[in-house]
Amino acid sequence: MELYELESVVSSSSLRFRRWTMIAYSICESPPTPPKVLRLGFSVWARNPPKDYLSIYPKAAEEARKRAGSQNVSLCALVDDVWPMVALSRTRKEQQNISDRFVALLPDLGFHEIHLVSDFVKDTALGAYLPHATRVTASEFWKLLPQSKKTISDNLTLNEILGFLWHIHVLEIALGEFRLTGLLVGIRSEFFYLMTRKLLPPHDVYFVNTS
Amino acid sequence: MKRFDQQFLARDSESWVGMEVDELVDFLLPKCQEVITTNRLRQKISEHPTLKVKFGIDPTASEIHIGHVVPIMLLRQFAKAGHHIDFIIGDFTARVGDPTARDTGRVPLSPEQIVKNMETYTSQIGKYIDLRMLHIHHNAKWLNPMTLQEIFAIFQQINLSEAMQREDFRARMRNEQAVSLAEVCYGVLMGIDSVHLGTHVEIGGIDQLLNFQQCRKIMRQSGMDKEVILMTPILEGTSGDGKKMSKSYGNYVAVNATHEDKFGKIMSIPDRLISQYFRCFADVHQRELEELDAFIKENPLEAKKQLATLIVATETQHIEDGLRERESFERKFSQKNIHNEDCVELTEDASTTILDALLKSGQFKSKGELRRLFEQQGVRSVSEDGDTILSPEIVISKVNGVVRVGKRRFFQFVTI
Repeated sequence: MELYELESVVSSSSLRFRRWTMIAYSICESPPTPPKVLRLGFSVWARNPPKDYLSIYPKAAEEARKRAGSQNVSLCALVDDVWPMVALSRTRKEQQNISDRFVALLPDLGFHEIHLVSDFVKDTALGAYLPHATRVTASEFWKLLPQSKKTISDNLTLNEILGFLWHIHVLEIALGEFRLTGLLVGIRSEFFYLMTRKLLPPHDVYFVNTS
Repeated sequence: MKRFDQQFLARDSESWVGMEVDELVDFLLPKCQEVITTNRLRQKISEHPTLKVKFGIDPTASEIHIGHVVPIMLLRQFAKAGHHIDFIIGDFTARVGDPTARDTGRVPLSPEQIVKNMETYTSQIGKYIDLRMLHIHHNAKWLNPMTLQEIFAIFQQINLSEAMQREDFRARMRNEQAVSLAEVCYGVLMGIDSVHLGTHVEIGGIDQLLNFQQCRKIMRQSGMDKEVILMTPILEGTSGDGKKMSKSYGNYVAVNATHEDKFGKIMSIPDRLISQYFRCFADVHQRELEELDAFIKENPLEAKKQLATLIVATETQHIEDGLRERESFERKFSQKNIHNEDCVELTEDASTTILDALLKSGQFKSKGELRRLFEQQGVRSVSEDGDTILSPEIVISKVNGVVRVGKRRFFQFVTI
C-alpha cells in the first residue's frame, strides 16, 4: 500500500503530492488541538464487497489517528444503497442483498459504525441537492473528472453531474448526522473530495492510495 | 392621414376565437424573429382547437421595461384566440439561474426575493394582458420533488459534452468567466416544464434559442411531439446605438413609468426602430406591413407619435389617454407652450447659479451629470421665438422664463 501526502493546501489547482508509505494525510492543516476521537467517514456503494480492498481503510484510519495525535478513531462506513439502485438499475431486493453483505462484512474488517444511506438521507428530491450545482463551475467539474472518464466523454451524460450532486448531498448530511471530523477516501476519488472541501462544512480529507 | 394607432388599438378588444388558421398565423408572424417551424405551427393550430401555449419567466428583477413585454404581446394574441396559456413562474429555475445571454453567471435568487419580484412583475404585465387569461404555475411544484429515479432517467438522455459546449458557455469560458453546473442543467429543467405541461407552443425571446432546443430534445426523448417555438426579437433600446433595451444601458422605457415619460421616450427612438416597435406592440397583420412601412417612411414623425399614442393607450385600453399625451407633447415641444404644471418650481437666492439651483432640486444624480448636460448645450431657456443656450455660471435672476434641461424636464425659478 502506498499513500500520498499533500504538501500544499492553498487551492485545488496548486495541489502537489509526494510519495509516502503507509500513512494517510489530511489535506487540512492540523488543528491546534487534535480531537480526542477522530471520526472518519468512508463512503462505499458500487460493487459487491471486495474484502481485500476494503481492509486497507481501517489500517489507514489508524495511521491517520496517529498522525493527528488523537487518542482514538471511529471509522463510519456510509453504505449508499440509494444511488446504485438508480444508476445500476438494481431492484430493491438486489440492493437489499448487497447492503446486507456490506453490513455483515464491514465490522469484521475493522469499521466501527455502519450506516445505510437510505436510513439517514430522507430527502431524495431534486430540490435538496441541485442548489449545490450553483457553486461549482463547469470548468472545475471538467478539470476534476478523472482522465479515464474524459477519454470516453462522448458517452458521458448529465448524470455525471447528478451523481456528483447526490454524493455531495449524502456527505453533507453524514458530516452533521454522525459528527464526522473527516473523510477517508481513495486517491482515485481525489477530484470529488477536493470539491467537497469547497462545498461542505469544514472537514479533513485523508487520501489513501489503494493501487 | 392614416391613423394606425386607432386602427390597431381597436383590435385589442376583438375576440379572435375561431379565427382561420392562416389569418391567426399572419397576425403572429410579424411579432416573431424566428419560428421553429411555421409549417408545424399551422399544423398544431389546425390539430388542436385549444393549444397549450407556454411562457416562462424567472422573476429575476422587480421592475420590468417594455422590452420584457414583447413576448407578452405575442402571448396575448394566443389568449385572444382562445388558447390555453400556461404561465410559468420559474421559482425553481430562478434558484439555478438562467444562463441565457449572460457574460457572467446570474446570482441565484432566494425564495423571498422570488416572491417579492413576482408580486411586482405580475402587477406590471397585468397592464398588457388580462391575468385572468393565464394559468399560472410555479415550476418548483413539480421540479422540487422530482425523485432521483425521475431526474436520472431524463439526465441520462443528455450528453454532458454537448450540454457544456453551448456557444454562449464556450464564449464565457474563453473569457475565463464562470459557468455553473446548474446553468448547464437549466435547459433540461425548462424541458421538464414542457413535458409536465404537455406544451404545444412555447414563446420567448430569440436569446432563449439554446434552451428551447433542449426543451424540444427532452420532449422528443420523452415520447412527446416537440413543441413549436415562437421567438420574439430582443427589443433595441431607445438610444439607437444598437444595444438591447436594458436598465443597465439606461435606454429603457419602464413599464411603471408615467404616460408622459413613456410617450417622451418613444418619441426619442430613431426612425429606423418605428416599424419594429409597431410590430412588437400592435396587432399588425402581414398584409398591412407594406402599407405601415411606407407610411413610416413618408411620415416618420407622425408615425412615431402614433406609436407612442398606441403604447400609452394599450396600457389603459383608452385611446384618449394616448391622445392626451400626444397633445401635451405637441404643446410643449412643437408649440413651445409650457404650462406651470409642466415645470418644477425652484425657489433660490437671486445670486445662486443655475448649476447650483438645479443641483439642489434633487432631480439629478450628480453635479457631473448636470455639467455634461450643460456641455452638450442641453440646458436652455425656452420661448416661442427660439431657445437660448444657458451656461452653468449664470445666476438665476438673469434667467428668463422656463428652462428646459435635457429633452423633457422643465424648471421655473423663483428668486427670494
